[in-house]
Amino acid sequence: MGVDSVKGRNVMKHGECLSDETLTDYLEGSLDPIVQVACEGHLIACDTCRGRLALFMRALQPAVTAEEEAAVESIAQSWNARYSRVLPIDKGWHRKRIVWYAVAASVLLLLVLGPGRMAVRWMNSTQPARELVQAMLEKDRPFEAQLAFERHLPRVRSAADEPGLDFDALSAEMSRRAASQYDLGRFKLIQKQFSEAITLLQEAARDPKAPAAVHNDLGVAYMEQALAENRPKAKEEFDRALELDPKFAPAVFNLSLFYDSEAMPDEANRQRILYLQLDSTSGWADEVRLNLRP
Amino acid sequence: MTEPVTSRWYKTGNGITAAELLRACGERLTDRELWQKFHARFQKAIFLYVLRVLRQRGFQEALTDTAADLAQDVYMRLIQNDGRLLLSFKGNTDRSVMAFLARVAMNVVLHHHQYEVADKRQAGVVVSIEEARQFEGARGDVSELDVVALLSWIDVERLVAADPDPEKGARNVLLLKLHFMEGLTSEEIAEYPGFQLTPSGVNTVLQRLKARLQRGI
Repeated sequence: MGVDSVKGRNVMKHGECLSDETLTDYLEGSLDPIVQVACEGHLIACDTCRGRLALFMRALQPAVTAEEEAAVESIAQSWNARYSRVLPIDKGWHRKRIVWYAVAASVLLLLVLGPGRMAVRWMNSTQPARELVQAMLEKDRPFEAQLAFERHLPRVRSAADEPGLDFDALSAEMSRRAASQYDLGRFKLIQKQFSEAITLLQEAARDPKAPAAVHNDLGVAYMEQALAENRPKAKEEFDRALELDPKFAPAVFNLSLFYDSEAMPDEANRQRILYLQLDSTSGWADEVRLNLRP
Repeated sequence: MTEPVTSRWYKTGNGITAAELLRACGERLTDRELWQKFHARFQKAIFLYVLRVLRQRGFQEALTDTAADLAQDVYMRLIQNDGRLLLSFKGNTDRSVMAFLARVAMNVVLHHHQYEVADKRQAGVVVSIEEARQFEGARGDVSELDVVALLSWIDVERLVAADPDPEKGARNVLLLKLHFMEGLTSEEIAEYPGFQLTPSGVNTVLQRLKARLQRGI
């Protein structure tokens, strides 16, 4: 189409095809008459644009059937049961929903009933940002090590498996959600921006009330950064996490990895045995069993 | 167009028009009160658009849950990049707001659909000949398929030029194609002011063009 703009707006895009905006403006009858005729000329020849026009015409029908009304009510119930705020979704997430809810409920229960009660209070102020980080962990396992509250996913990575996350958009969203230093640190850690992650997690760990989870994740940041001078710090943080909560399984898991990397197989094996005493049913436990020596 | 959309799915606001509310939300992304108004006013419409497009794309599995997830994605698209999409909205009428939300919903669903299709292709899903026949059979009766076939092969420019109302020739052929090829009814077509026709007006155009086709233009 040869027309470029009407009323200051671009009306023809994608080469000769019509933009969605032009299609809906056409239905609304708000196009300039000359553009309208040009659109009609295109629409009778272009099956793709006409198909999109038909899709809009069906979607925008003002009459709502009783069956649609009932379906929308069901969607509203589903929405209200799950969302109270804006959160991005993983495109394949709905398949894993039941598993995810079960894991989230279990973690919450452990936190509320166990020694993590203080941690829950400590973390409440930034719940929305935490959900965003958790959603990222649901999409992809970033490290071999185990972060706090991380559901087990197989560690399978290749160029084709890189997560399709828009980190720029997520960064903006994190800043809007008033994320704590801990959440921002985890967010940076997942992006493998280790220096920034360590700075933020160190700040969070300075809080005397910082729970085991914070020290564990700082330990992961040190370990994954793979700087020789930081490796002892990783162990210190895992040990500190276990001082605060001796049953904090992720720190035990990470210690087994640490000892592996330090060529200390016996100590690594001891940590694996200890881990299975704390967690014998999760995917993490299965992974530990695979590496356990008799 | 300035007339409001009189549907209970589209609640009227208290002193603020739909277009103003949309733009205000784009300018103040963290204003909880404003977004509550947005939610109260447009939530059901967003659900409805997502639901309709999903159905049109033949999506049936876990429809309610998928629609809720995709509606969430609609909100996400609206706010991402500092609300760029919301700020790009230039309309002024209620209807233009609904068209805007439908566009976002449609793109979210189509994106999801592409993802699903890619998944199925990877899994090696093959459509049987029987299924393909059933799909073809569901498209319309034999007489309509004849018109579809005719429309696929006919010289459209000739059909437009032969219209007794030259100014409306292209529109009338478009109506014919929307009805016979896309399956839209006269009532569905007449809902849109862009066509400037009542349902009976659409029927008249369709009958006239169909008769001309049968006569070989």
